[in-house]
Amino acid sequence: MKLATVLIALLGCVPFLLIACGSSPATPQTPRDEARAALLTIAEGVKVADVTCADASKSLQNAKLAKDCADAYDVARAALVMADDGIDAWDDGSAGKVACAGKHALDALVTVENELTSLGVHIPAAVVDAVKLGETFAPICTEDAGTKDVSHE
Amino acid sequence: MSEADTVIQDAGVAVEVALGMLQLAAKLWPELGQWLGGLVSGQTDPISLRVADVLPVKSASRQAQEDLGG
Repeated sequence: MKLATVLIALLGCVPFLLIACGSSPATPQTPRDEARAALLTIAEGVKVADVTCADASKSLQNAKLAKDCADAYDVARAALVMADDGIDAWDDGSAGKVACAGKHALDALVTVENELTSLGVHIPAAVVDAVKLGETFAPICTEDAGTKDVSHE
Repeated sequence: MSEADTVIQDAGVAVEVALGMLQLAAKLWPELGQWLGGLVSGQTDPISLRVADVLPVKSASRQAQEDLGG
């Protein structure tokens, strides 16, 4: 029976091994994967900033703040969705175009961050992290890389 | 302790271990299923989430603006 106990225990470890093996491919491995992961991180920051701003607007009864944040959100979302589409159709020039779209989203996010900071609202870590990550896009984005191709309206 | 007692005790331990592992497997089943599904289908891209899935068209701020009458 002791052998049976050991066997059952070993069989019980199979899920652990499968999960452990399954988690390794989740790491982005190509520039395309990395770009997608970066965009999603920025998108998460935009979302958190939006919710933070909505809560602050309500508590401060500040409709202008809500409008400013909503307008910035629309700009950031449009840029990120466009960048997402650019990743789908990945080619030689995609990295630059995606970087420029990410930069436009970052600019909008920084606008919200600055406005919230000026009102004394705590900025969540997800927003700070997204801004830091977004700043890495700036050097990649040049006019040649597709600034003119990416609308931020 | 008689041999029968030892057998019963071992069997009890074996059942406890098996139940514990089954509970763990049940908790991890969604991730396990997802991984196995990817393995079977040959899909290697781990990132299927899209920006549009994360960011709804209408923002919470826009809703707040409307609620505040702005």
